[in-house]
Amino acid sequence: MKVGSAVITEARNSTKSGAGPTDAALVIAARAGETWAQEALFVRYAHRALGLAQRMTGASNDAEDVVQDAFVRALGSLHKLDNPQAFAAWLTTLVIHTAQKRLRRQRLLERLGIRSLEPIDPDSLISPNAPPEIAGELRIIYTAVNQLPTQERLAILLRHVEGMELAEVAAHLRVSLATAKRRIKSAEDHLEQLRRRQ
Amino acid sequence: MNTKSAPLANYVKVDASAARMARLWTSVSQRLSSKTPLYRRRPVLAMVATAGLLLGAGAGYSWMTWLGPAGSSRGITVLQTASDRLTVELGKGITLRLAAHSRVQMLPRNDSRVSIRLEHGSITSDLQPGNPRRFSVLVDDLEIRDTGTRFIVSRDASSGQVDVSVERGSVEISGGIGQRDAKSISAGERWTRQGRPTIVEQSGVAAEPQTGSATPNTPLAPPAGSSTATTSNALREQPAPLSNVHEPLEHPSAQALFEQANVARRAGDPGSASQALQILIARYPNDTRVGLAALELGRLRMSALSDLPGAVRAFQTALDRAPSAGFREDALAHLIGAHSALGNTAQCHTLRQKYLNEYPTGVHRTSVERNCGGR
Repeated sequence: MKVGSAVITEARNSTKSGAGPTDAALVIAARAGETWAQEALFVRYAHRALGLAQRMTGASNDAEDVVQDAFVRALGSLHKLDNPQAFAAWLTTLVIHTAQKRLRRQRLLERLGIRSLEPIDPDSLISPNAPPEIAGELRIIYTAVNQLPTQERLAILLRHVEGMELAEVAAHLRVSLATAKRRIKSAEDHLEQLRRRQ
Repeated sequence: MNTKSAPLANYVKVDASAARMARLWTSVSQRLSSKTPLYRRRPVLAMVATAGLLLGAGAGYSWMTWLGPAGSSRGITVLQTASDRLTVELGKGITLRLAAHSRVQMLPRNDSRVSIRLEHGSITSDLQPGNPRRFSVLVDDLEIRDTGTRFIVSRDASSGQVDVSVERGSVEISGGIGQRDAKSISAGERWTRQGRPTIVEQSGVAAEPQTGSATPNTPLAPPAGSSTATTSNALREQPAPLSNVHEPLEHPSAQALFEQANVARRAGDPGSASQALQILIARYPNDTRVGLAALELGRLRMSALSDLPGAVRAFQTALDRAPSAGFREDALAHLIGAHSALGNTAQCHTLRQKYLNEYPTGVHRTSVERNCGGR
Protein backbone atom coordinates (compact mmCIF):
# COMPACT_ATOMS: atom_id res chain seq x y z
CA MET A 1 0.00 0.00 0.00
CA LYS A 2 1.37 3.37 -0.94
CA VAL A 3 1.34 6.50 1.12
CA GLY A 4 0.17 10.00 0.50
CA SER A 5 -1.97 11.27 -2.29
CA ALA A 6 -1.64 8.14 -4.40
CA VAL A 7 -3.69 6.22 -1.89
CA ILE A 8 -6.26 8.97 -1.63
CA THR A 9 -6.69 8.94 -5.38
CA GLU A 10 -7.14 5.18 -5.30
CA ALA A 11 -9.55 5.40 -2.43
CA ARG A 12 -12.01 7.38 -4.50
CA ASN A 13 -12.65 4.29 -6.55
CA SER A 14 -14.80 1.36 -5.62
CA THR A 15 -12.76 -1.51 -4.25
CA LYS A 16 -14.82 -4.06 -6.14
CA SER A 17 -13.31 -2.75 -9.34
CA GLY A 18 -9.93 -3.63 -7.95
CA ALA A 19 -8.77 -0.03 -8.05
CA GLY A 20 -8.26 0.79 -4.38
CA PRO A 21 -7.63 -0.60 -0.91
CA THR A 22 -10.53 -2.25 0.85
CA ASP A 23 -12.34 -0.42 3.63
CA ALA A 24 -10.91 -3.01 6.01
CA ALA A 25 -7.36 -2.22 4.94
CA LEU A 26 -7.96 1.51 5.35
CA VAL A 27 -9.58 1.02 8.75
CA ILE A 28 -6.69 -1.13 9.94
CA ALA A 29 -4.18 1.47 8.80
CA ALA A 30 -6.22 4.36 10.22
CA ARG A 31 -6.58 2.53 13.52
CA ALA A 32 -2.80 2.25 13.63
CA GLY A 33 -2.59 6.04 13.42
CA GLU A 34 -1.96 6.46 9.70
CA THR A 35 -3.48 9.83 8.80
CA TRP A 36 -3.42 9.14 5.07
CA ALA A 37 -5.80 6.24 5.70
CA GLN A 38 -8.12 8.47 7.73
CA GLU A 39 -8.13 10.94 4.90
CA ALA A 40 -8.77 8.20 2.37
CA LEU A 41 -11.81 7.04 4.35
CA PHE A 42 -13.04 10.62 4.52
CA VAL A 43 -12.61 11.15 0.79
CA ARG A 44 -14.38 7.88 0.08
CA TYR A 45 -17.45 8.57 2.23
CA ALA A 46 -17.71 12.30 2.94
CA HIS A 47 -19.81 13.01 -0.14
CA ARG A 48 -22.44 10.44 0.77
CA ALA A 49 -22.33 11.39 4.43
CA LEU A 50 -22.89 15.03 3.56
CA GLY A 51 -25.85 14.15 1.35
CA LEU A 52 -27.42 12.03 4.05
CA ALA A 53 -26.85 14.72 6.70
CA GLN A 54 -28.32 17.40 4.47
CA ARG A 55 -31.42 15.34 3.80
CA MET A 56 -31.84 14.59 7.51
CA THR A 57 -31.33 18.14 8.78
CA GLY A 58 -32.63 20.05 5.77
CA ALA A 59 -29.98 22.74 6.26
CA SER A 60 -26.60 23.03 4.65
CA ASN A 61 -24.76 24.42 7.68
CA ASP A 62 -26.25 21.86 10.03
CA ALA A 63 -25.25 19.11 7.61
CA GLU A 64 -21.65 20.25 7.66
CA ASP A 65 -21.56 20.19 11.44
CA VAL A 66 -23.15 16.75 11.50
CA VAL A 67 -20.61 15.35 9.05
CA GLN A 68 -17.74 16.82 11.01
CA ASP A 69 -19.01 15.40 14.28
CA ALA A 70 -19.73 12.01 12.77
CA PHE A 71 -16.29 11.68 11.17
CA VAL A 72 -14.49 12.86 14.28
CA ARG A 73 -16.41 10.27 16.27
CA ALA A 74 -15.88 7.52 13.71
CA LEU A 75 -12.19 8.07 13.08
CA GLY A 76 -11.52 8.67 16.76
CA SER A 77 -13.11 5.43 17.87
CA LEU A 78 -12.19 2.97 15.15
CA HIS A 79 -11.08 0.53 17.83
CA LYS A 80 -14.76 0.02 18.61
CA LEU A 81 -15.48 -1.18 15.11
CA ASP A 82 -15.32 -4.96 15.27
CA ASN A 83 -15.66 -5.57 11.55
CA PRO A 84 -13.44 -3.09 9.69
CA GLN A 85 -15.20 -3.81 6.40
CA ALA A 86 -18.46 -2.50 7.93
CA PHE A 87 -17.13 1.04 8.18
CA ALA A 88 -19.69 2.45 5.74
CA ALA A 89 -22.72 1.09 7.57
CA TRP A 90 -21.25 2.18 10.87
CA LEU A 91 -20.67 5.70 9.57
CA THR A 92 -24.25 5.86 8.30
CA THR A 93 -25.53 5.07 11.77
CA LEU A 94 -23.22 7.68 13.27
CA VAL A 95 -24.41 10.36 10.83
CA ILE A 96 -28.04 9.57 11.61
CA HIS A 97 -27.43 9.63 15.35
CA THR A 98 -25.46 12.83 15.18
CA ALA A 99 -28.23 14.45 13.16
CA GLN A 100 -30.79 13.20 15.68
CA LYS A 101 -28.85 14.68 18.58
CA ARG A 102 -28.48 17.97 16.80
CA LEU A 103 -32.17 18.21 15.90
CA ARG A 104 -33.21 17.35 19.46
CA ARG A 105 -30.92 19.99 20.86
CA GLN A 106 -32.31 22.58 18.48
CA ARG A 107 -35.86 21.67 19.50
CA LEU A 108 -34.93 21.94 23.17
CA LEU A 109 -33.33 25.35 22.67
CA GLU A 110 -36.44 26.47 20.84
CA ARG A 111 -38.69 25.29 23.67
CA LEU A 112 -36.53 27.13 26.16
CA GLY A 113 -36.82 30.26 24.06
CA ILE A 114 -33.07 30.42 23.55
CA ARG A 115 -33.17 29.94 19.83
CA SER A 116 -35.85 30.01 17.16
CA LEU A 117 -35.82 27.12 14.74
CA GLU A 118 -35.59 28.06 11.08
CA PRO A 119 -38.20 26.08 9.15
CA ILE A 120 -36.86 24.11 6.22
CA ASP A 121 -37.42 25.77 2.88
CA PRO A 122 -38.25 22.80 0.60
CA ASP A 123 -37.54 24.72 -2.58
CA SER A 124 -34.00 25.43 -1.48
CA LEU A 125 -33.43 21.69 -1.17
CA ILE A 126 -35.06 20.34 -4.29
CA SER A 127 -32.87 19.90 -7.31
CA PRO A 128 -33.94 21.84 -10.42
CA ASN A 129 -33.72 18.55 -12.32
CA ALA A 130 -36.42 16.91 -10.20
CA PRO A 131 -39.52 15.83 -12.17
CA PRO A 132 -42.65 17.67 -11.03
CA GLU A 133 -44.20 14.71 -9.21
CA ILE A 134 -40.99 14.05 -7.26
CA ALA A 135 -40.55 17.75 -6.49
CA GLY A 136 -44.14 17.79 -5.20
CA GLU A 137 -43.58 14.77 -3.00
CA LEU A 138 -40.36 16.22 -1.59
CA ARG A 139 -42.12 19.52 -0.93
CA ILE A 140 -44.84 17.75 1.08
CA ILE A 141 -42.31 15.68 3.04
CA TYR A 142 -40.06 18.60 3.93
CA THR A 143 -43.03 20.79 4.83
CA ALA A 144 -44.33 18.04 7.09
CA VAL A 145 -41.07 17.28 8.84
CA ASN A 146 -40.94 20.85 10.12
CA GLN A 147 -43.83 19.90 12.39
CA LEU A 148 -42.84 16.33 13.29
CA PRO A 149 -41.05 15.17 16.41
CA THR A 150 -37.38 14.35 15.69
CA GLN A 151 -37.79 10.59 15.89
CA GLU A 152 -40.69 10.55 13.45
CA ARG A 153 -38.92 13.01 11.20
CA LEU A 154 -35.85 10.78 10.86
CA ALA A 155 -37.94 7.64 10.42
CA ILE A 156 -39.98 9.09 7.56
CA LEU A 157 -36.93 10.59 5.86
CA LEU A 158 -34.99 7.32 6.02
CA ARG A 159 -37.96 5.38 4.71
CA HIS A 160 -39.28 7.70 2.00
CA VAL A 161 -36.34 9.86 0.96
CA GLU A 162 -33.45 7.45 1.50
CA GLY A 163 -35.56 4.49 0.37
CA MET A 164 -34.49 2.23 3.23
CA GLU A 165 -36.29 -0.98 4.15
CA LEU A 166 -38.16 -0.98 7.45
CA ALA A 167 -35.54 -3.23 9.05
CA GLU A 168 -32.77 -0.86 7.98
CA VAL A 169 -34.63 2.12 9.41
CA ALA A 170 -35.04 0.27 12.70
CA ALA A 171 -31.39 -0.76 12.77
CA HIS A 172 -30.07 2.72 12.05
CA LEU A 173 -32.35 4.33 14.60
CA ARG A 174 -31.56 1.52 17.06
CA VAL A 175 -35.21 0.83 17.77
CA SER A 176 -37.36 -2.24 17.34
CA LEU A 177 -39.10 -2.92 14.05
CA ALA A 178 -42.47 -2.25 15.69
CA THR A 179 -41.33 1.13 16.97
CA ALA A 180 -39.94 2.08 13.58
CA LYS A 181 -43.23 1.08 11.92
CA ARG A 182 -45.23 3.09 14.44
CA ARG A 183 -43.14 6.20 13.90
CA ILE A 184 -43.32 5.93 10.14
CA LYS A 185 -47.09 5.37 10.29
CA SER A 186 -47.58 8.41 12.47
CA ALA A 187 -45.49 10.54 10.12
CA GLU A 188 -47.32 9.18 7.08
CA ASP A 189 -50.65 10.13 8.63
CA HIS A 190 -49.34 13.65 8.97
CA LEU A 191 -48.21 13.65 5.35
CA GLU A 192 -51.62 12.43 4.27
CA GLN A 193 -53.30 15.30 6.06
CA LEU A 194 -51.03 17.74 4.24
CA ARG A 195 -51.78 16.15 0.87
CA ARG A 196 -55.51 16.48 1.49
CA ARG A 197 -55.12 20.14 2.32
CA GLN A 198 -53.19 20.84 -0.90
CA MET B 1 -23.46 4.14 3.53
CA ASN B 2 -26.70 3.02 2.01
CA THR B 3 -25.85 2.20 -1.55
CA LYS B 4 -29.36 1.47 -2.80
CA SER B 5 -30.86 3.76 -5.39
CA ALA B 6 -33.23 6.12 -3.68
CA PRO B 7 -35.12 8.22 -6.23
CA LEU B 8 -36.17 10.98 -3.84
CA ALA B 9 -32.71 11.28 -2.28
CA ASN B 10 -31.25 11.76 -5.73
CA TYR B 11 -33.28 14.93 -6.20
CA VAL B 12 -32.13 16.73 -3.07
CA LYS B 13 -29.39 19.25 -3.78
CA VAL B 14 -26.07 18.76 -2.04
CA ASP B 15 -23.14 21.09 -2.41
CA ALA B 16 -20.22 18.69 -2.39
CA SER B 17 -17.70 20.92 -4.10
CA ALA B 18 -14.03 20.13 -3.73
CA ALA B 19 -13.51 23.34 -1.77
CA ARG B 20 -16.23 22.43 0.71
CA MET B 21 -14.89 18.92 1.13
CA ALA B 22 -11.36 20.21 1.65
CA ARG B 23 -12.61 22.64 4.29
CA LEU B 24 -14.53 19.86 6.01
CA TRP B 25 -11.49 17.56 6.08
CA THR B 26 -9.33 20.33 7.49
CA SER B 27 -11.79 20.80 10.34
CA VAL B 28 -12.10 17.06 10.95
CA SER B 29 -8.36 16.45 10.97
CA GLN B 30 -7.74 19.41 13.28
CA ARG B 31 -10.35 18.15 15.71
CA LEU B 32 -8.93 14.64 15.54
CA SER B 33 -5.41 15.78 16.32
CA SER B 34 -6.55 17.94 19.19
CA LYS B 35 -8.72 15.14 20.54
CA THR B 36 -6.09 12.41 20.49
CA PRO B 37 -4.07 12.23 23.67
CA LEU B 38 -0.39 13.05 23.33
CA TYR B 39 0.76 9.56 24.28
CA ARG B 40 -1.27 8.08 21.43
CA ARG B 41 -0.33 10.63 18.83
CA ARG B 42 3.36 10.64 19.50
CA PRO B 43 4.11 7.57 21.58
CA VAL B 44 7.84 7.65 21.04
CA LEU B 45 8.12 11.37 21.71
CA ALA B 46 5.97 11.03 24.80
CA MET B 47 8.11 8.21 26.14
CA VAL B 48 11.33 10.01 25.39
CA ALA B 49 9.94 13.15 26.99
CA THR B 50 8.88 11.18 30.06
CA ALA B 51 12.25 9.52 30.35
CA GLY B 52 14.03 12.80 29.70
CA LEU B 53 12.08 14.58 32.39
CA LEU B 54 12.68 11.85 34.90
CA LEU B 55 16.33 11.47 34.03
CA GLY B 56 16.73 15.21 34.00
CA ALA B 57 15.27 15.34 37.45
CA GLY B 58 18.19 13.23 38.46
CA ALA B 59 19.20 9.73 37.53
CA GLY B 60 20.41 8.09 40.64
CA TYR B 61 18.25 10.27 42.85
CA SER B 62 15.21 9.00 44.57
CA TRP B 63 11.79 9.89 43.43
CA MET B 64 9.52 9.94 46.42
CA THR B 65 6.27 11.07 45.01
CA TRP B 66 4.93 8.32 42.81
CA LEU B 67 3.14 6.12 45.27
CA GLY B 68 1.03 8.82 46.79
CA PRO B 69 -1.50 8.20 49.49
CA ALA B 70 -2.72 4.69 49.98
CA GLY B 71 -5.83 3.95 47.99
CA SER B 72 -5.30 6.63 45.41
CA SER B 73 -5.91 5.47 41.89
CA ARG B 74 -4.04 6.55 38.82
CA GLY B 75 -3.59 5.14 35.34
CA ILE B 76 -0.61 3.37 33.88
CA THR B 77 2.67 5.27 34.06
CA VAL B 78 5.40 4.36 31.60
CA LEU B 79 9.03 4.76 32.57
CA GLN B 80 11.78 4.37 30.04
CA THR B 81 15.48 4.93 30.40
CA ALA B 82 17.97 5.83 27.72
CA SER B 83 21.65 5.48 28.53
CA ASP B 84 21.43 6.06 32.25
CA ARG B 85 19.89 4.30 35.22
CA LEU B 86 16.92 5.49 37.20
CA THR B 87 16.05 4.96 40.84
CA VAL B 88 12.43 5.25 41.83
CA GLU B 89 11.47 5.34 45.48
CA LEU B 90 7.87 4.24 45.74
CA GLY B 91 7.73 4.79 49.47
CA LYS B 92 6.62 2.32 52.12
CA GLY B 93 9.81 0.34 51.70
CA ILE B 94 9.76 -0.22 47.94
CA THR B 95 12.67 0.94 45.79
CA LEU B 96 13.05 0.25 42.10
CA ARG B 97 16.20 0.62 40.06
CA LEU B 98 15.70 0.70 36.34
CA ALA B 99 18.77 -0.22 34.29
CA ALA B 100 19.75 1.65 31.14
CA HIS B 101 17.67 0.94 28.03
CA SER B 102 14.76 -0.43 30.01
CA ARG B 103 11.05 0.21 29.92
CA VAL B 104 8.39 -0.56 32.51
CA GLN B 105 4.71 0.16 32.99
CA MET B 106 3.57 0.98 36.49
CA LEU B 107 0.11 -0.48 36.62
CA PRO B 108 -2.79 1.01 38.58
CA ARG B 109 -2.35 0.10 42.24
CA ASN B 110 -4.49 -0.18 45.30
CA ASP B 111 -4.10 -0.59 49.05
CA SER B 112 -3.01 -4.18 48.82
CA ARG B 113 -1.18 -4.45 45.58
CA VAL B 114 1.59 -2.84 43.53
CA SER B 115 2.34 -4.30 40.10
CA ILE B 116 4.89 -3.36 37.50
CA ARG B 117 5.12 -4.73 34.00
CA LEU B 118 8.62 -5.05 32.57
CA GLU B 119 8.59 -4.67 28.79
CA HIS B 120 12.34 -4.94 28.26
CA GLY B 121 15.58 -4.23 30.03
CA SER B 122 16.22 -4.91 33.67
CA ILE B 123 14.70 -3.82 36.95
CA THR B 124 15.93 -4.38 40.50
CA SER B 125 13.23 -4.40 43.15
CA ASP B 126 14.22 -3.84 46.75
CA LEU B 127 11.54 -4.39 49.36
CA GLN B 128 11.79 -4.15 53.08
CA PRO B 129 10.59 -7.32 54.81
CA GLY B 130 7.05 -7.22 56.13
CA ASN B 131 5.73 -4.91 53.44
CA PRO B 132 1.93 -5.13 53.70
CA ARG B 133 1.38 -4.69 49.98
CA ARG B 134 1.64 -7.51 47.53
CA PHE B 135 4.36 -6.52 45.12
CA SER B 136 4.88 -8.22 41.78
CA VAL B 137 6.76 -7.77 38.55
CA LEU B 138 4.93 -8.98 35.44
CA VAL B 139 6.89 -9.96 32.40
CA ASP B 140 5.23 -11.56 29.39
CA ASP B 141 2.94 -14.20 30.87
CA LEU B 142 4.89 -14.53 34.13
CA GLU B 143 4.32 -12.98 37.52
CA ILE B 144 7.23 -12.70 39.95
CA ARG B 145 5.78 -12.07 43.37
CA ASP B 146 7.63 -10.82 46.39
CA THR B 147 6.95 -10.01 49.99
CA GLY B 148 10.28 -8.76 51.25
CA THR B 149 13.47 -9.23 49.34
CA ARG B 150 15.73 -7.88 46.63
CA PHE B 151 15.58 -9.39 43.19
CA ILE B 152 16.33 -8.52 39.58
CA VAL B 153 14.13 -9.25 36.61
CA SER B 154 15.46 -8.82 33.09
CA ARG B 155 13.92 -9.31 29.69
CA ASP B 156 15.89 -9.24 26.48
CA ALA B 157 13.91 -7.28 23.88
CA SER B 158 15.20 -9.24 20.90
CA SER B 159 15.17 -12.83 22.16
CA GLY B 160 12.47 -12.49 24.79
CA GLN B 161 14.64 -14.31 27.34
CA VAL B 162 13.55 -13.66 30.91
CA ASP B 163 15.99 -13.82 33.85
CA VAL B 164 15.10 -13.62 37.52
CA SER B 165 17.93 -13.33 40.07
CA VAL B 166 17.26 -13.21 43.80
CA GLU B 167 19.78 -11.39 45.98
CA ARG B 168 17.91 -11.53 49.27
CA GLY B 169 14.85 -13.41 50.51
CA SER B 170 12.80 -15.35 47.96
CA VAL B 171 10.27 -14.84 45.21
CA GLU B 172 7.53 -16.88 43.63
CA ILE B 173 7.15 -17.15 39.87
CA SER B 174 3.76 -18.05 38.49
CA GLY B 175 2.24 -18.12 35.03
CA GLY B 176 3.91 -19.51 31.96
CA ILE B 177 2.61 -22.09 29.57
CA GLY B 178 2.11 -25.50 31.09
CA GLN B 179 2.90 -24.33 34.61
CA ARG B 180 0.16 -24.70 37.15
CA ASP B 181 2.29 -24.39 40.26
CA ALA B 182 4.25 -21.38 41.37
CA LYS B 183 8.02 -21.77 41.52
CA SER B 184 10.00 -20.52 44.49
CA ILE B 185 13.44 -19.00 43.89
CA SER B 186 15.66 -18.27 46.87
CA ALA B 187 18.60 -15.94 47.50
CA GLY B 188 21.57 -16.75 45.31
CA GLU B 189 19.48 -18.54 42.71
CA ARG B 190 18.67 -17.50 39.22
CA TRP B 191 15.80 -18.60 36.96
CA THR B 192 15.88 -18.27 33.21
CA ARG B 193 13.33 -18.81 30.51
CA GLN B 194 14.76 -18.77 27.04
CA GLY B 195 12.72 -17.37 24.16
CA ARG B 196 9.24 -15.95 24.06
CA PRO B 197 6.26 -17.74 25.52
CA THR B 198 4.81 -20.14 23.01
CA ILE B 199 1.16 -19.72 22.25
CA VAL B 200 -0.88 -22.42 20.58
CA GLU B 201 -2.68 -20.89 17.65
CA GLN B 202 -4.99 -23.58 16.36
CA SER B 203 -4.65 -27.23 16.91
CA GLY B 204 -3.30 -27.40 20.42
CA VAL B 205 0.24 -28.05 19.23
CA ALA B 206 2.80 -25.59 20.52
CA ALA B 207 4.90 -23.98 17.84
CA GLU B 208 8.19 -24.31 19.63
CA PRO B 209 9.28 -25.62 22.99
CA GLN B 210 10.62 -23.39 25.70
CA THR B 211 12.41 -24.00 28.93
CA GLY B 212 12.85 -22.38 32.26
CA SER B 213 15.65 -23.32 34.58
CA ALA B 214 16.94 -22.45 38.01
CA THR B 215 20.65 -22.31 38.57
CA PRO B 216 22.98 -21.01 41.21
CA ASN B 217 23.60 -17.36 40.78
CA THR B 218 27.01 -17.90 39.18
CA PRO B 219 27.65 -18.26 36.38
CA LEU B 220 24.92 -15.84 35.60
CA ALA B 221 23.94 -16.86 32.10
CA PRO B 222 23.62 -20.43 30.88
CA PRO B 223 24.81 -21.06 27.32
CA ALA B 224 22.20 -20.15 24.74
CA GLY B 225 20.05 -23.09 23.81
CA SER B 226 21.06 -25.19 26.81
CA SER B 227 18.24 -25.99 29.11
CA THR B 228 19.20 -29.16 30.88
CA ALA B 229 22.73 -28.83 32.24
CA THR B 230 21.68 -27.27 35.50
CA THR B 231 17.95 -27.53 35.17
CA SER B 232 15.73 -28.65 37.94
CA ASN B 233 12.90 -30.75 36.54
CA ALA B 234 10.45 -29.02 38.81
CA LEU B 235 11.18 -25.73 37.11
CA ARG B 236 11.23 -26.83 33.51
CA GLU B 237 8.45 -25.48 31.34
CA GLN B 238 7.00 -27.85 28.82
CA PRO B 239 4.84 -27.06 25.84
CA ALA B 240 1.25 -27.80 26.62
CA PRO B 241 -2.19 -27.56 25.09
CA LEU B 242 -3.82 -24.20 25.35
CA SER B 243 -6.24 -25.43 27.97
CA ASN B 244 -3.32 -25.93 30.32
CA VAL B 245 -2.07 -22.39 30.11
CA HIS B 246 -1.72 -21.08 33.61
CA GLU B 247 -3.16 -17.62 33.53
CA PRO B 248 -1.10 -14.89 35.10
CA LEU B 249 -2.80 -12.89 37.77
CA GLU B 250 -2.82 -9.64 35.81
CA HIS B 251 -5.13 -10.21 32.89
CA PRO B 252 -5.25 -7.60 30.16
CA SER B 253 -8.42 -7.60 28.09
CA ALA B 254 -8.48 -8.47 24.40
CA GLN B 255 -8.86 -4.79 23.60
CA ALA B 256 -5.92 -3.88 25.82
CA LEU B 257 -3.76 -6.54 24.16
CA PHE B 258 -4.74 -5.30 20.73
CA GLU B 259 -3.93 -1.74 21.71
CA GLN B 260 -0.68 -2.88 23.33
CA ALA B 261 0.29 -4.56 20.06
CA ASN B 262 -0.44 -1.37 18.13
CA VAL B 263 1.62 0.73 20.52
CA ALA B 264 4.53 -1.72 20.35
CA ARG B 265 4.40 -1.86 16.58
CA ARG B 266 4.38 1.91 16.28
CA ALA B 267 7.27 2.10 18.73
CA GLY B 268 9.29 -0.20 16.47
CA ASP B 269 9.08 -3.30 18.67
CA PRO B 270 7.52 -5.97 16.43
CA GLY B 271 8.55 -8.70 18.86
CA SER B 272 6.40 -7.32 21.66
CA ALA B 273 3.59 -6.53 19.23
CA SER B 274 3.65 -10.08 17.95
CA GLN B 275 3.64 -11.43 21.46
CA ALA B 276 0.62 -9.39 22.53
CA LEU B 277 -1.28 -10.58 19.47
CA GLN B 278 -0.36 -14.22 20.16
CA ILE B 279 -1.63 -13.91 23.70
CA LEU B 280 -4.85 -12.31 22.47
CA ILE B 281 -5.44 -15.13 19.97
CA ALA B 282 -4.76 -17.84 22.52
CA ARG B 283 -6.53 -16.31 25.45
CA TYR B 284 -9.61 -14.90 23.73
CA PRO B 285 -10.39 -17.37 20.93
CA ASN B 286 -13.98 -16.16 20.66
CA ASP B 287 -13.22 -12.46 20.64
CA THR B 288 -14.27 -10.63 17.51
CA ARG B 289 -10.77 -9.21 17.12
CA VAL B 290 -9.12 -12.62 16.78
CA GLY B 291 -9.23 -12.75 12.99
CA LEU B 292 -7.86 -9.27 12.69
CA ALA B 293 -5.21 -9.97 15.33
CA ALA B 294 -4.11 -13.06 13.39
CA LEU B 295 -3.88 -11.03 10.19
CA GLU B 296 -1.75 -8.39 11.94
CA LEU B 297 0.41 -11.11 13.48
CA GLY B 298 0.98 -12.67 10.09
CA ARG B 299 1.97 -9.34 8.58
CA LEU B 300 4.42 -8.69 11.41
CA ARG B 301 5.97 -12.13 11.12
CA MET B 302 6.26 -11.85 7.38
CA SER B 303 7.68 -8.35 7.16
CA ALA B 304 9.40 -7.43 10.41
CA LEU B 305 10.27 -10.80 11.93
CA SER B 306 11.11 -12.77 8.79
CA ASP B 307 9.22 -15.73 10.18
CA LEU B 308 7.51 -17.13 7.10
CA PRO B 309 6.24 -20.42 8.61
CA GLY B 310 4.81 -18.42 11.52
CA ALA B 311 3.21 -16.02 9.06
CA VAL B 312 1.56 -18.93 7.22
CA ARG B 313 0.08 -20.20 10.51
CA ALA B 314 -1.18 -16.76 11.44
CA PHE B 315 -2.80 -16.03 8.06
CA GLN B 316 -4.43 -19.46 8.10
CA THR B 317 -5.74 -18.67 11.60
CA ALA B 318 -7.17 -15.39 10.31
CA LEU B 319 -9.02 -17.24 7.55
CA ASP B 320 -10.27 -19.98 9.86
CA ARG B 321 -11.38 -17.75 12.71
CA ALA B 322 -13.01 -15.05 10.59
CA PRO B 323 -14.18 -16.81 7.43
CA SER B 324 -16.58 -14.07 6.42
CA ALA B 325 -14.63 -11.03 7.60
CA GLY B 326 -14.05 -8.08 5.31
CA PHE B 327 -10.30 -8.63 5.42
CA ARG B 328 -10.53 -12.24 4.23
CA GLU B 329 -9.30 -11.23 0.80
CA ASP B 330 -6.25 -9.55 2.34
CA ALA B 331 -5.51 -12.58 4.51
CA LEU B 332 -5.78 -14.98 1.59
CA ALA B 333 -3.50 -12.83 -0.57
CA HIS B 334 -0.92 -12.64 2.20
CA LEU B 335 -1.11 -16.38 2.77
CA ILE B 336 -0.38 -16.95 -0.92
CA GLY B 337 2.58 -14.57 -0.66
CA ALA B 338 3.97 -16.42 2.35
CA HIS B 339 3.63 -19.83 0.69
CA SER B 340 5.25 -18.44 -2.43
CA ALA B 341 8.19 -17.08 -0.45
CA LEU B 342 8.59 -20.42 1.29
CA GLY B 343 8.59 -22.26 -2.01
CA ASN B 344 5.46 -24.27 -1.14
CA THR B 345 4.47 -24.46 -4.77
CA ALA B 346 1.56 -26.88 -4.48
CA GLN B 347 -0.24 -25.00 -1.70
CA CYS B 348 0.57 -21.72 -3.37
CA HIS B 349 -1.02 -22.79 -6.65
CA THR B 350 -4.12 -24.17 -4.94
CA LEU B 351 -4.65 -20.99 -2.94
CA ARG B 352 -3.89 -18.77 -5.89
CA GLN B 353 -6.59 -20.48 -7.93
CA LYS B 354 -8.96 -20.13 -4.97
CA TYR B 355 -8.24 -16.41 -4.75
CA LEU B 356 -8.71 -15.86 -8.49
CA ASN B 357 -12.01 -17.75 -8.42
CA GLU B 358 -13.34 -15.89 -5.40
CA TYR B 359 -11.99 -12.45 -6.23
CA PRO B 360 -11.70 -12.22 -10.01
CA THR B 361 -11.39 -8.42 -9.80
CA GLY B 362 -9.74 -8.38 -6.38
CA VAL B 363 -7.36 -5.65 -5.29
CA HIS B 364 -4.49 -8.12 -4.91
CA ARG B 365 -5.08 -9.91 -8.21
CA THR B 366 -1.93 -8.60 -9.88
CA SER B 367 0.38 -9.49 -7.03
CA VAL B 368 -1.31 -12.86 -6.50
CA GLU B 369 -0.81 -13.72 -10.16
CA ARG B 370 2.88 -12.95 -9.81
CA ASN B 371 3.22 -15.42 -6.92
CA CYS B 372 3.96 -19.16 -7.06
CA GLY B 373 6.48 -18.60 -9.83
CA GLY B 374 4.10 -16.66 -12.07
CA ARG B 375 1.34 -18.03 -14.29
